[in-house]
Amino acid sequence: MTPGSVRPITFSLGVASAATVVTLALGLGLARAMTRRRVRLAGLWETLILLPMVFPPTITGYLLLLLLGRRGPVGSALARVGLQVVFTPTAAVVAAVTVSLPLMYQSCKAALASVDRRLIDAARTLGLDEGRVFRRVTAPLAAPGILGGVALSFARALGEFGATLMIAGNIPGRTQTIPLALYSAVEGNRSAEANAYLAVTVGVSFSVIALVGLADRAAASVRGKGSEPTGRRR
Amino acid sequence: MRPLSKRVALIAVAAAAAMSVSAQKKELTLSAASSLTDALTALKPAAERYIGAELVINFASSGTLRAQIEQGAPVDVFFSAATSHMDTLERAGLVVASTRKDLLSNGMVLIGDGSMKGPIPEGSLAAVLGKARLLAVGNPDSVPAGAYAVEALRALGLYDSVAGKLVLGNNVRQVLQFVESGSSPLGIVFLTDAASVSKDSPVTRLYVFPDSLLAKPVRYPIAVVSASRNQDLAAKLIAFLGSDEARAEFGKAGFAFP
Repeated sequence: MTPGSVRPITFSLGVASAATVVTLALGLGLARAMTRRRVRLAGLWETLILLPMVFPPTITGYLLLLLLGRRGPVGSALARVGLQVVFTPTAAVVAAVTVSLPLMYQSCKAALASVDRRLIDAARTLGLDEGRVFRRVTAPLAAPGILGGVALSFARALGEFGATLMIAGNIPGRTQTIPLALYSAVEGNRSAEANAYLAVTVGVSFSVIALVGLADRAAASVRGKGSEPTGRRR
Repeated sequence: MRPLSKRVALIAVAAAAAMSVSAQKKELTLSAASSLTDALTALKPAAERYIGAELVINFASSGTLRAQIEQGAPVDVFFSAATSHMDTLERAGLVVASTRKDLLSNGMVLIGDGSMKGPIPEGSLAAVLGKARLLAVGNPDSVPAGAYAVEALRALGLYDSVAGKLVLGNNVRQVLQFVESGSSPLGIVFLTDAASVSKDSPVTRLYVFPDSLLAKPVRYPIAVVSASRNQDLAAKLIAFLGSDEARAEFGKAGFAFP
């Protein structure tokens, strides 16, 4: 591998990390809002969040391009204050967040729903405010599930191709991620380079998902030793 | 959780702003068809010296690049692998018509798996095709290279004799693969595909189909994007890409010049 071909790897890891942080904040926030109170048109919102999971990524990318392009509603507003998203690393993060949010949201929602309501109510009767109940009781109990969402989202963000190509472009040294570099390497008959990118992607994704499996099992064994297992009862 | 998520959101917005602002330095963005990747990557340093600005190159299929320009992506120069996409942008006034130029041409070539020495004269083309077991071409319904191949064969009056032994590839690279791996003794690909094989590949060029066989020969048009704020630099880049230095590099990649 040439020194130039290491750049897509560091860039991709950066984009996937940034995207995962944003996705976690968004996914957890949305899941909490949807599980806590009755939201009007909840089904509609949820469908919108989940759509990128079933859309071909190119379609998601084209939609984002329509929104964020200089003629789009968001893009034109940003352009007025001198900001530009298309063809920047930010666009790569936006694409990765959009496609990984459904995974994060689903994981967080399932994790929050699995927390024993009685423990939450007990914390309330002991005088904790809602924020503290969430931070001290709900979130720690839901942590393994949330962590699973983090791992899935990171792996999905790392593999993102279609939407990224549309709004971040395929600009070597600036917005070229591992999947885009791999695609270019295959197209250009550079199989050694393509194989190296493949190995890195498999290695990173495999380790992230394996790590979460280990953490999950460790958490389960700790909980098993506690006084009472947290059930799925409502 | 609230304060933490707020802090994260703030950091994300600040980072986004920083990244977007840093992209405002003196630079020129070229959106170029994927098939130009190797040649343009090699020419980038010389091009930057010539225009005196940083050159940012965005590679994708011509259709994707056209859609990006239509949606107002910050592109200064468009270098397309198909006239149709450039025509669409020109009709919409999104490229400056007076700056448009056909810089490169690509052609169709018959390649063999090495069992035969090339090139062969046009007179023996019918015999070579007749003897072959299979002929690999791109699926003419979806692959431009396949449509061109069928058109050239029809123009030579050879299509009916080979129609029964066509192997259809899903893209032109697959056609190359069929021949390189010996699965098909013959194939028809772009000149640039034939030029992309490694030195130890068995693939040989047997016959270059003349451009005159095609109703619309393969051209690579380039033009300045109307919305560009660097019209002069953009024109300078187009001039460089037509220079002898650039032509030598494009020639290495298998391109011809109209």
